[in-house]
Amino acid sequence: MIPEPSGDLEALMQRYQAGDRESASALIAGINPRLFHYLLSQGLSRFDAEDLLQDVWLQIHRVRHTHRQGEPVLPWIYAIARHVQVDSYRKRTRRREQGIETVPELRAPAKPADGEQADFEELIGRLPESQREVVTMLKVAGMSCEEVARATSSTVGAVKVKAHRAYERLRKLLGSPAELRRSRD
Amino acid sequence: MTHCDEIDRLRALFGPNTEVWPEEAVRHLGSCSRCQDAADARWSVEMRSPEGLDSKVEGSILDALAPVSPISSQNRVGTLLLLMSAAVTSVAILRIGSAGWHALNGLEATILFTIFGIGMVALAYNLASRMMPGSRIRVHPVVLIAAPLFCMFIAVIILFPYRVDPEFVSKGVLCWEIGFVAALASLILVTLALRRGYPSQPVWTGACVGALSALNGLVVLQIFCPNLERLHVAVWHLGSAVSAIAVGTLIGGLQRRRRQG
Repeated sequence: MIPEPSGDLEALMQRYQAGDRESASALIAGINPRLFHYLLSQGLSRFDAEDLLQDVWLQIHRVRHTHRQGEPVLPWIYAIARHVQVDSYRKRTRRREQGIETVPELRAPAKPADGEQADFEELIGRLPESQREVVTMLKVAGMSCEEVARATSSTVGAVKVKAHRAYERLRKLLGSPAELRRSRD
Repeated sequence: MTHCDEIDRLRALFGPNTEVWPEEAVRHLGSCSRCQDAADARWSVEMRSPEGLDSKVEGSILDALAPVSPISSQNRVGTLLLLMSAAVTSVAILRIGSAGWHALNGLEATILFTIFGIGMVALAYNLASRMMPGSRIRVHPVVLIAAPLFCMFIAVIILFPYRVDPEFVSKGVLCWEIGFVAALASLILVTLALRRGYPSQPVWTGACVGALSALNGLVVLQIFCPNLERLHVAVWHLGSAVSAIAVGTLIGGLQRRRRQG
């Protein structure tokens, strides 16, 4: 069963901090799909998203004591996920600069043939990174503007502005197939 | 012309969130009872983890599952940071004296120590909040760091006179050293108090730690130093504060670098 945000998650989090295995499993089952989708929406391939998701959970586990009782769980988890993602990107960029590793390219959104209708992944992939992040948290994870602001170390006003701009862009893409084709190119 | 199948497609992509729908589609929705009936509550994104991923994650963390005690509340940590600052100030004053306090008149003391007090309380509670990722950010750190220093600069320009001091550098370096050492002592204590936290912006957090310590150093200097000459205070006292902020920022940068391996 996937626990709903707020009350359930907070209770699970408290028991996870107390060392309860079942609560930890329930928390993982409840959060994993959202986190996985969040990482996918950030332009990672499925393979990289799975890999990073495990790093995110290791970090969550390492710093599980930093969640204060009574505070919302989702912003805490997404803030850590965001942080691990940025760290991982910077680490790989530095390695590439040192010639150690090739940074995997961010997955280019699939390009449907002309006339074929765009799917969610493709549409969301047309947005700038910061707007994509906000829209995914708001509309896929079901977080409030306040929670997204907490997760992104931002303000509610800034989140609303980003969401508004993202909606405008999506509306344009959906309303005009020509615009969508142009953005694919 | 928008047809019902177009509305179905939009709904399949975005659920009932008509913010992103083209205007024509919204108009159609308003006039078509068939489309209004087919309401859906969420974006229809497939919300499943890949096969076996949950068990992989469980395998990697559940073996090492032990109870942990959560970090203290924001109020408790904030109060602890302020008490530490008070302790550093007390020890410093006991060692070097309080000639500066006696040189200040009531107005000067009230203005300067109100600025320090408000700045330190705001920074202490902001740092306590930053220990937890995803905590509410009410004020941007730039404001918290710059506002007290800017206010102090303005107060110094208005309150203190200017006069030529032949020992500007020698006296000034002594003040800078005292302010900087007091700030460093505070910085070490504050860093220790925050060590269980996991700030999601380590560089900004480092800068805030530096700013809190810097204000602590300024309090010590203002109580110790009887030289109330405008340029001396603006250059050497504020200079020690800027140095402490730079050290805090550097430590935050190093912490971020260490996290990134």
